[in-house]
Amino acid sequence: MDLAHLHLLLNHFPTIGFLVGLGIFVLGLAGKNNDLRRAALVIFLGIALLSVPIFISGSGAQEAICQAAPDRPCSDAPLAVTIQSSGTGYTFAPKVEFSGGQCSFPPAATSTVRDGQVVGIQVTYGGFGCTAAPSVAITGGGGSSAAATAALPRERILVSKAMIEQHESAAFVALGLMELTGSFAWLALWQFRRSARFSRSMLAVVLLLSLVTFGLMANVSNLGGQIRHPEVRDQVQAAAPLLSTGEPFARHVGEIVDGGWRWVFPACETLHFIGLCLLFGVAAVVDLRMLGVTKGISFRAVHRLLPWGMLGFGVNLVTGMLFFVADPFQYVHLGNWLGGQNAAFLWKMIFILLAALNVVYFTIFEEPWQLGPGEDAPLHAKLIAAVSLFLVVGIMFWGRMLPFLGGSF
Amino acid sequence: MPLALSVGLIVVGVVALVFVLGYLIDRAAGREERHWER
Repeated sequence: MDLAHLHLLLNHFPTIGFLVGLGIFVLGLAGKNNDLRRAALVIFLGIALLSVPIFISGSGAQEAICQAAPDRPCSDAPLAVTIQSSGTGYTFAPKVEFSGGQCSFPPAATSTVRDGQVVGIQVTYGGFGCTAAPSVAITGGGGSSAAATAALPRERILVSKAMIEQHESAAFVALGLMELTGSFAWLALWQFRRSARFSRSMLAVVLLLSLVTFGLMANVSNLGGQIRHPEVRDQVQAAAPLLSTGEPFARHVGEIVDGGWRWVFPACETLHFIGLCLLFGVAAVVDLRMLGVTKGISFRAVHRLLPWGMLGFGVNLVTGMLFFVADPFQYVHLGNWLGGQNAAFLWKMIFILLAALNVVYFTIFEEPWQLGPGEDAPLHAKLIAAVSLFLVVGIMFWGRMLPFLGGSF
Repeated sequence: MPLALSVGLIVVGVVALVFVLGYLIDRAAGREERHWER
């Protein structure tokens, strides 16, 4: 199994899975049922966390689908046109037209004439959606019998880089909204733990965000499906990345972070460390209390600190994803995923997801919540706290090891 | 603008935002709890 498998396996959660959560949430709102509401919020939170590896594995899938050099995957390589016969009697450049090949948009080319013969054909537009090489017709120019053939590079038949980057950009925006939904879902769960009720405004915010997120994610899925399924392509939409001159949003952001604006990378790097300190600080206080340090404090008191830790996590999620889009392929080189070049990044992601399970435990479970001043936590709660500390330290370790064990930067 | 100044400003800005958010969430939690204790 590689990242492409993982992407195909997981990419249904932000749409189908999220829709299930949304349905439960609406039922919970309509029926004023707090259990259903809480279940839906946990689903939102879980899918928000899962969306990070889904986005990341997308770059791995891109590399796998294109089988090209990591720095230029799925290049929209130009159509190769070969002149078979130069013809005779041409007084000006004849028209070059392409037909067939089931192209959604046929390629375009111009010709060059010298001494009455067609000596060159320059492809000005590579065409879009061609599944086979189109045939070439050379007409006009006052001459006759010039002929040429076109060949479509293999990667062009398989997939278009422009479509992948359009999918990536839509996913980047949807991921932002998904994480915002997840943050508010977590905040609502935390609030419910403290006061055993939901505030209406909080539920309204989560509902609004989840609806917008679902709409954006559905679009992302649609664009993603079209990459390998020409049968579901909407031609106008599919041609959009080629017809527009602008760079796809995620690539544009990536270039800004990757030195385009000099202050962005060092600022993100600094913030990533500050976020880490917040996260680790709060995790250490909560975990150490569970392990029996400062036993005089009730769990409720330290529970109130959790949002500070989550804010730190939020800062790190944003800055971390900015690092990722700046240069995705250094993290996800195909073939090196398990135990090779990218082991550090893989383990960092696994540790983050496992640590998230710990956060859910400390946020909503009854057991730690019941721990009053001076009370000792049960053994398995202590184990969970110890694992949590191990994971947070591990996340820092793997993050720091990215350049050394991960081959990044 | 020198690089250090731009980086410093953005870092201070984001950290300030995080602390304002944290403070607001904490204050709301405190208000809520006092309300339910009454």
